[in-house]
Amino acid sequence: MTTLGMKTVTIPVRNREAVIAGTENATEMTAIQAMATRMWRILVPMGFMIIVISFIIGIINGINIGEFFGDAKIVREASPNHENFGTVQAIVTWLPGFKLFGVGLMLGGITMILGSILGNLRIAGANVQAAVGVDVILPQTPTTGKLFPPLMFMGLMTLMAAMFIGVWLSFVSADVYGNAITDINGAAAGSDLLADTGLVHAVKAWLTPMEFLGMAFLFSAITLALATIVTALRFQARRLVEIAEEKLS
Amino acid sequence: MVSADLKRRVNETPRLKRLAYGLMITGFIIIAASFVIGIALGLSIADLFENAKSVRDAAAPDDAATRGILSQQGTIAATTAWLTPLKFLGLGSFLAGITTILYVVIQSLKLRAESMKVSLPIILGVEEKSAE
Repeated sequence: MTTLGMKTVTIPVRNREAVIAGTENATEMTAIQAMATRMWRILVPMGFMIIVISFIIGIINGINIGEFFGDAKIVREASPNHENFGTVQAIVTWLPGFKLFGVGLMLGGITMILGSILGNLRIAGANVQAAVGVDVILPQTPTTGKLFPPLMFMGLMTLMAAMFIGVWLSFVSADVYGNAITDINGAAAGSDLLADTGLVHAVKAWLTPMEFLGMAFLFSAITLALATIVTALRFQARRLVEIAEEKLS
Repeated sequence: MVSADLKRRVNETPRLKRLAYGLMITGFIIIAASFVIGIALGLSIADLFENAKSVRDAAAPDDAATRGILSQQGTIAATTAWLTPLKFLGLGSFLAGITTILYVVIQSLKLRAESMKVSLPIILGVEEKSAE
């Protein structure tokens, strides 16, 4: 059915008295909204924990970098894996992907809270209509509402993939920087060491933009979720005016 | 009585919503473009690292054999310099879009409040009682 310029559904009210008493709702959240209401409580603390862990690892790695620079250039570049430089470089390689995955989980949590807000708007709108004794008309999920959950999922998957690529690259990085820097600098054309050095630099060049792409999916999901909230609020405003006009006529 | 102005406003789509969509799409295009540029940059870096460091460091503009390597190094360094700000430009576009749509949420809440203020007395029959 199309009402108020949107595709709508009419919900049958089972027990109007219970809705007025507040013991029952005129409708329930959709399955995705109900899931979002549960999931944000998991995603946001998980994301925050990852960011805090990244910060702690960053401090420890910073101390190790400081120790590396505690020696003269000639000393630190001549000895293989000086002050665990291979490990330091490996952490530098996987840590950005890990912390951005934490940020992504938090952005996913925000998207889910917005989904939960939409669910609550749906219930509140239905309850008000049931309480005043008119047909409970609700808008069908608009395109923006259908798009934002898969976009959020794609964002999280992209960030997860970037994190795993970072972990894989960190092993290559550890191998490369486990050698003395003089050996890395002196690697001959066609050698495995030079190829691996090139690989580390080449993958890093597109890995950061890939992480931003994941963030772009998540920000798109947030924008579309907010646009859906606007649609819901505007529908409620229109529906109130329509009910008032029905009463007047 | 519901005014014609309120009826018109509840039925129109806010123009700022379209602006928010525009900013979101712009941000997405910018970030997707930076990803593609990043891939091209990665390929160029992989190509550059086929040469030993001594060859890369010895590259000179007046040497026909190594001029290409020097040019490639310059392109990589220059691209890296503007690629990061480009990514943040895309991010900025997204954040501007989110701010705009949040402003539209505020407007929509105000509109719904106005609609409630006008409609609820009619729906609940309070208008007639207060007039009596």
